Amino acid sequence: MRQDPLIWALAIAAPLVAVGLFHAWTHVQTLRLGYELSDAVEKREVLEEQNRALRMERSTLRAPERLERLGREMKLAPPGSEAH
Amino acid sequence: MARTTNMDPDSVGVRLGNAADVKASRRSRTKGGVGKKREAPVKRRLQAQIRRGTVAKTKSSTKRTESRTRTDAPAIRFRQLVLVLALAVVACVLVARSAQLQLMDRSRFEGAALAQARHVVELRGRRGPIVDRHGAELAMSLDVETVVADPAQVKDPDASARRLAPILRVDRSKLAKKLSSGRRFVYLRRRVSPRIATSIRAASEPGVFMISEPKRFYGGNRLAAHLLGFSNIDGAGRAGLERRYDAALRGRHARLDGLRDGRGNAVLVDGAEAAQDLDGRGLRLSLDRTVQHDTEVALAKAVRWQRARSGVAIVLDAQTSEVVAMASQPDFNPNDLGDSTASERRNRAVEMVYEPGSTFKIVTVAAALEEGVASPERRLDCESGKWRFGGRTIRDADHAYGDLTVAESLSVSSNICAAKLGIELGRDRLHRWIQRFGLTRATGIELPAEARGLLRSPRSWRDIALANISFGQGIAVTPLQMAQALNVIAAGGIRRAPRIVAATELEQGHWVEAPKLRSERVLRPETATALTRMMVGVVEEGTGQQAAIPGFQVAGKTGTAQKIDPLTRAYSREDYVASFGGFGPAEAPEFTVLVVLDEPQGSIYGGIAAAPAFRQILSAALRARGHVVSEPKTAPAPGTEASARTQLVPKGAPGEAPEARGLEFALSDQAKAMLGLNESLPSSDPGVVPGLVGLGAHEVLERCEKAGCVPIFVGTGRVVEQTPASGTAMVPGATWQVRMKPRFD
Repeated sequence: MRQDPLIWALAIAAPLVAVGLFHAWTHVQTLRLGYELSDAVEKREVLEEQNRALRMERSTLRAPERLERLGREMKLAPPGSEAH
Repeated sequence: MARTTNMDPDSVGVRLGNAADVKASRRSRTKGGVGKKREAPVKRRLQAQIRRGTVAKTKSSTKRTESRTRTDAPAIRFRQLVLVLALAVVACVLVARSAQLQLMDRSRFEGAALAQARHVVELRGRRGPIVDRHGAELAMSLDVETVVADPAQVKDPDASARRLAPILRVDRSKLAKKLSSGRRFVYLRRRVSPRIATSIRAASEPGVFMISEPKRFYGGNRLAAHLLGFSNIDGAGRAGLERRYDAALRGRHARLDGLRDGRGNAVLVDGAEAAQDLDGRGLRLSLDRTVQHDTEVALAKAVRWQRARSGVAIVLDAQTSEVVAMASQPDFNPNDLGDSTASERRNRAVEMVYEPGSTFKIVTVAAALEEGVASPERRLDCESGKWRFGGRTIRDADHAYGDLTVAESLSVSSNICAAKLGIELGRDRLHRWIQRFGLTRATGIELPAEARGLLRSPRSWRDIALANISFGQGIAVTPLQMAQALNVIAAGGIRRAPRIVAATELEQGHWVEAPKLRSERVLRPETATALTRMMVGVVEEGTGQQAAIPGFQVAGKTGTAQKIDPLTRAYSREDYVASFGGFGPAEAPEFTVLVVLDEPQGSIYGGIAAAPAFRQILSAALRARGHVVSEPKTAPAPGTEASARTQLVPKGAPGEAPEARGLEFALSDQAKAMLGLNESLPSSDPGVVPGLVGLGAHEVLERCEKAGCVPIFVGTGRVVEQTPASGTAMVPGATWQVRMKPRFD
């Protein structure tokens, strides 16, 4: 029984097209994830920088020199200095 | 063959083709759209020809056409064949070329394409943080903005410089020169403040950009500045721990391969390395930020109060020898290095050597106890404050004691008794004990440029040198070495090398404790206990009463040492080092504290100048450990007006024994040789010519006036030679000639 050549052509072309499409899809996905990764790295950098800045600010706000100055302004005394 | 006269363009198409074409045409028509579409251009052409009259509508013309069609059929087939062959050749060429590009030259073209699209992303790890023992940040790197320019994009450099110079606060001409340079990248100003960055952005100057760069911040400004050190503008450690641990603190650089899209955006296709892997490792110090602050405040007050040239204070954990605080005056702000001098940046706690004076007596007494030379109760003759030995006179200048126990002699800081113990020990044994206390070598603390002290070989010690060293003159140590020696007693006789780095950061948030250093038992526990009792006596009844803390037993020892005058190479009569070292609580020591004041002008005595600062520092350290500590009612805080009234004692006033005063005549040949001394100390005995060597013109005038003599000055500067010699009988009205030289001649 003779088969229609069109079916043969389709049978050959379909896997090739599928492979091509898959390849294109993976390429697009790689690029998309690459963009996402770039964004994530950038966001991480920003967040880490914010974290560092906040830690530094906390350290500055809790600096003994500053606390002592505030204590003096509030007329506080070191613990135990009123005894004896 | 079917014939038709129908001039319908569709039927013309049929006529033009052969039977197979007709079949195909039908088939395509029955299948619909595709055939129709293919025929449409033919149809349109025929319709156009009909309109133009080029296609006849008569029967005859139709016949002619049919006849011609039959004649042209082979030619048409030939053309079709040629066309198919041509297309096949083109297709083959395309396939071959494609194969060549894809298979044979693949690597070359792939490389070229990647090179065009590749974008290398540079990731720079930040310098690791330095935190105190509780995790409080002492040094940290943050991103700040740097103003850069591409001069090629700057159209009018002069105009741009005129606009930018006031914002950047730089010289306009220099800025214009930078903007006119042929380079593609120039720094205009690095690490600017947020305010300047905002102004630059607002200016929107073409060719001027902002980039981020890390900058090191020291949150406490001057806090622990000498310990932390500083790094330069490129982030390389240059002093202190920043320098010593530069390799660990410095972040790594990484280059990530990515791609660049049409808009120039980076696309990371190979992943990204974890940022914390690039960041430098952190350091956790044994330092306590609060105690450090209190130590610095107390030291600064003492230095100011005593108008001292410089000062050092060290706090060690008595049980581990970890540095809890280390302060040096004068200090500097590592955030603003431009304002500081090299002298201010010097960490005197480890880089300065000084003659410890009486604080060293604990070593002599410890050696005597250990060697069985003496017990705390053994009585020694203090020779009524004046003892002739080795051709020289050793004095306990301001007190004249007879028999004292060893403990009592330590309490009143007798030079004579210490010298006697040292002489009984002998050169080798005393030297060995000095070594055991770690005073002959650097402590090995994790700080750069640590000095290791000065002590000559015992074989070269003369008798008088042995006596001098016994009470802390003729030997030079760093304050940290002395603190370590004091800590031996606090730790029950065990010597541990002091250290400052408690842990290093392996990865973010994961710390690795520093390995424990080897400890060495130096004293028997009972010897350490006996020494502690003696040192408690110093604070409770002796020369160190200003160090007492109500409610706590404090052990301590005062020190007052004469300094060498670099000009005369003799001991100065003006310049002293006052110190106080000890620990507390004495029954269960938690902290060892040493305070050293260089050239105090208020009082030369360690018990007066340095002990109040010691008390304040030890109190602060004990408070930080949760103890409730009170200030003594009777001892005003140093630096206050009240304390100045009650505690300021003029130079030469009675107090503890200044060790160097004992050197008045005992100034050793050995010490002279060791320290390059050639001149003896001036005598202060009445009736004899006083020593003038080392004095300035003003002081010589004062002494001449007092003695009723006439001075003759030769040269300027300080006295280096005098006639008549010191110690000779004074003749009122005589002429004293002094030869003087500038200090740094």
